[in-house]
Amino acid sequence: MDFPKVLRPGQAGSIKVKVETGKSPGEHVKSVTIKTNDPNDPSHIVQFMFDVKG
Amino acid sequence: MTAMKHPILKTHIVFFSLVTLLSACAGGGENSATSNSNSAEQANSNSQPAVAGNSPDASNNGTPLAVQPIPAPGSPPQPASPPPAAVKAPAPNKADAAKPAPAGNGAAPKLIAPAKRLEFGKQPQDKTLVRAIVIRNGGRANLNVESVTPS
Repeated sequence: MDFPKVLRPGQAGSIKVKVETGKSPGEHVKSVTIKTNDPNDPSHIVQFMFDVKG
Repeated sequence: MTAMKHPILKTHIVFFSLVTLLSACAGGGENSATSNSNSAEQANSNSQPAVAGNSPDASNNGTPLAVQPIPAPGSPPQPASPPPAAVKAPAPNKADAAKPAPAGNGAAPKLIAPAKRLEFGKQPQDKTLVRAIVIRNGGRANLNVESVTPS
């Protein structure tokens, strides 16, 4: 996964996330954990929800 | 050490002799004058060194009022009081040691990320979804992104 290593104060960056839907139909939840040196949020989790058609 | 104990012993001896003198004067009203004069002389002889060490005015001689040296035994509590002052000193040091931590938090980085749940909606089978998550550093220090791992 591509992500910026260091962000200066005020700087923004993007993280490219790829999710494979797979073959099993139904609702799926995948998540990505972003670990940083933020003392208040050292491990930030982002969830991706999608529904695969049968 | 012996030099420190010697004056203390002297003061104790003086105090003890004065106590005996007082008890002799108060209790023994019918005692002979000779015994009183002897004890008074003892008090004088003993009290002189103590007075020399404590206060310069040793005007009273022979009279039971020479009991004034009693404050001398009371003086030892004064050395006892400094230790509390010494105990108070370390307390501010602990407070100072705790201060740098808040200062470090003031310059901490802050991760600003999108919502914790992102909806892709209905998707076909065997499809690769690509999405960019935009993150920002809202703090005052560099934000180090250590890892991004799927789970």
